[in-house]
Amino acid sequence: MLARVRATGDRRGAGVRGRRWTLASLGRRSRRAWPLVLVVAVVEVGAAAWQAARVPAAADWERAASWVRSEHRAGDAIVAAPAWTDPLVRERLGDLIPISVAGMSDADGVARWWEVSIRGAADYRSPRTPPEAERRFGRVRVRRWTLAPNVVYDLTANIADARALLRTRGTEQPCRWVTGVRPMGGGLGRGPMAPPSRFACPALGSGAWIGRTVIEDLALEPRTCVLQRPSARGAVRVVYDDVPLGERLVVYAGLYSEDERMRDGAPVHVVVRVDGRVRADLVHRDGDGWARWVVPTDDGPSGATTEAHGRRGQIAIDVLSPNPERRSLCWAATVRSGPPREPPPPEPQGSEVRR
Amino acid sequence: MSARASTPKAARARARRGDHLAGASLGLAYVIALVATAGQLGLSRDESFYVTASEAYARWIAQLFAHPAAALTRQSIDAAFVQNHEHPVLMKLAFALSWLAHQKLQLGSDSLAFRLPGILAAGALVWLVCVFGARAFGRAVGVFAALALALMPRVFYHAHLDAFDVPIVCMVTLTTYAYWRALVSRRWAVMTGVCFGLALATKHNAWMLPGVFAVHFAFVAAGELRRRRRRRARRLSLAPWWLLTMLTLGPLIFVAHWPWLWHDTWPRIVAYAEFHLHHAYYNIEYFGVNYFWPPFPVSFPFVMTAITVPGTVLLLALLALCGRARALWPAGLAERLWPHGRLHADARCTDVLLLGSLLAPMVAIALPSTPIFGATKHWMPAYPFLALYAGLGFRQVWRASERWLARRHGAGAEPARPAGTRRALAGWLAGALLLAPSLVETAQSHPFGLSAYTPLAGGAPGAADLGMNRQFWGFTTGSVVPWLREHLPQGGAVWLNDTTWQAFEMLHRDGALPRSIGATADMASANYVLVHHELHFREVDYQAWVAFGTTRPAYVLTFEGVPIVSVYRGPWDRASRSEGAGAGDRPGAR
Repeated sequence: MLARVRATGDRRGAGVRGRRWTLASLGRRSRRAWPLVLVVAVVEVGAAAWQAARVPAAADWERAASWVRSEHRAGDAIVAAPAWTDPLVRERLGDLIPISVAGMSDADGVARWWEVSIRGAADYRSPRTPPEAERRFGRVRVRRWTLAPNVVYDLTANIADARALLRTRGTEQPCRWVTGVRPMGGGLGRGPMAPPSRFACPALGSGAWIGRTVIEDLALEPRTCVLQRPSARGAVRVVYDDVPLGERLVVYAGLYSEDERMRDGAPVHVVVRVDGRVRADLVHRDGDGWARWVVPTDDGPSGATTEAHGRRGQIAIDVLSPNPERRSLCWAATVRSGPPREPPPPEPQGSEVRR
Repeated sequence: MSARASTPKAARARARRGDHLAGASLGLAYVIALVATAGQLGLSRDESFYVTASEAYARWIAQLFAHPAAALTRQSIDAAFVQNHEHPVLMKLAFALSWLAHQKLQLGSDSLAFRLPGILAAGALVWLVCVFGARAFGRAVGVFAALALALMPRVFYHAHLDAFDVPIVCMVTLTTYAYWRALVSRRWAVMTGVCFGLALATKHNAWMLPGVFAVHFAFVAAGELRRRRRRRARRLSLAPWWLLTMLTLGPLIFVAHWPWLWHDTWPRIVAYAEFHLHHAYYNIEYFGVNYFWPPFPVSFPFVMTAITVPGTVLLLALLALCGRARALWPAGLAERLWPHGRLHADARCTDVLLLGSLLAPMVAIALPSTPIFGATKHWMPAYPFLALYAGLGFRQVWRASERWLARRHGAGAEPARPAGTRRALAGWLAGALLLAPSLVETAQSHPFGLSAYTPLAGGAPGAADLGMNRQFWGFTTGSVVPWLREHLPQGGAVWLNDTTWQAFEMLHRDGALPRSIGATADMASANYVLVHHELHFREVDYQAWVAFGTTRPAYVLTFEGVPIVSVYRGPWDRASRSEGAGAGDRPGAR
């Protein structure tokens, strides 16, 4: 471990055969190593300069963005890697990254997948297959894959086509769709922002609303979803009257991170009805994070293609909880047909509590 | 040279003066550097609270001079000192006095007036470390240690602020120095009590000092008793006069300096202690996880030190610590377990004291029961002692360089003693080279000191990859000011995220930002929304997307290519531009 001393029968090595490492030899022998610290200093200065030189130039970003922009089509998704470069990519291409893409739950509705990256990083959701196109712009790399979208209808994106209501015993109190109103909220701990177009639901309480927003989920990732808080007054329901039913409904749901992270809230039920029939009673418990469920929308075997897949019908989503306090449930649901894809990889860990 | 001057006593006095001259020169240079660079740092959250408190205290001080009787009533005292009563007021009184002086003398900008006492404390700290190192190990060690400390990027950042973090480092180091001197001097025992009182009056980090000293004194006493049992001459007194003065003068000064404690003394002391013992938990990102609830990873202070203190300084300190390990053992044990070695603990067990003072602040933060604070500043009182060990490491390198130089100049099998010039040259070159990484990293870090990581982490981008905290306190708004000025020529409202309104107001007071650019609490009506990139502020990013219907920031402020602040432009601002309207009269702006 330290330095070796020769056992020659002198006072230091008395009784010791051969050569050995001793603590006592540290100071004496390590003196020779001290000048190496000077080398470390030179290396450290060099490393600092090298790191500064590795920062991509603005021109690299601009050229990469320019290429993506020239090739971009509707339905494409653009992601950044490593994740902390996301603001830099959005600064240049944010007009091509709508909220639905920035907060997507999976890539099943995406036609083409663009990844803009530096430092050799890859987005955890990017396909593991070789990209169909790859170009480098200085220190910025752009890769593209073509995917096979299987989304038939996006309930989250089409919330304006739905009805929202509070259902109590025997009565229904509708919420009113309003547009162009002032967004409400903003600030740490304030939770999801109320969008300018939303359902105003006075029956649920003063200022209550249902609408498409972006929540910070348990992993602190953005999730574009319909915020539909449960109420003590009854079941809160969103109804889509005449929509394609496809083969299955893929539902994601989670809570705003600060409402979930202490793991002490009541469970939240998400009841899915198709044409009035309960198809699933999904339960979200604190700690589940952004959870995923697949709900068949017909009676055939899951994934089977039948005539029924072309039919249209009603989908209703109820949200209930035994204790609705701080239960900011938000869901994202899409109707899908065709072969199911693998579920997305687990999202990165973002928030921690050990109790 | 006169006969008088050549006596050992005169030589010692001359050396002491030289130590102080070197320390004072370094301290002054540091103050000048801090004053010159302070304007580039926006006011941080905590600073803004202390500004508000200091202004209240300044009014009370003015009243004290004008109407002493009225000022000393409970009503007046409580009205002033209820402000920020969770911290003692020594530094805030200094900020207040500096502010009062600024009103007469124009010390520069308003923010600089409040920051000046903290900057002076930083200069004093550099001076003190130089003298401490010089007294304990020689001037070269002291000078190197002072520079190594001054050039730690995070220390350099905190040294600018009107806050308590660098002042308490100064006070803890001063008290430790006084205690170290007190082991052989009763005069310094009194000073220890006084310094401890001032440390208590600066920040609660001082609470741990008696414990550190008690453990150290046990080492000292064990060595001394062993020596006396062997009928050797006494080296120091075993009467703990320092403890007596700490327990008497310390609390007296603490209560006397803080008018808030002059009434309801005990309940208010208890409330003060409870506030810090049950402190709110901060959000802090560590290896990609946002910790907001204890227990916090024990490794945090050690890993953060490893990746924020320049690596060469750390290596020097570690090697020196290893090299001096024999001096850390109690005398009896060292002789039994490590019989061969020239290094012995001195009578005052200086190495034990330095190592204890180095480890105590870090261990205190590492304890799982300690509330999550999350910033390197909370164990910064350890760094002067780390720097002193780095100074010892530097001395070793210097000596090794001397030997190497001597060998190169053909002195035969045994290294010859280098000539004076060569010796000095070796020292200067080695010192400059060993401090070069610190200088480069500190220069690179400004004005983003809290975002700076050393090459061991891969700099700021590497730390972002690792998922380390990128900043806190919202002071980086100061770096967005030029952009805001350019993009709001007719004024407007800015939503501030982590920056306090008082901190934003200071930008107005300093003349950095026109008053037509105001702050708003309503994100939706803001012309621009700031998002400070800290992991737990991600929700603010998402709120801005929804409020403005876009994910595209108008501007991203970066440090080493890493996003620090995103600025979103509100639809109202876009509309106003198209209509050519000003923003000065818009609702929500102030």
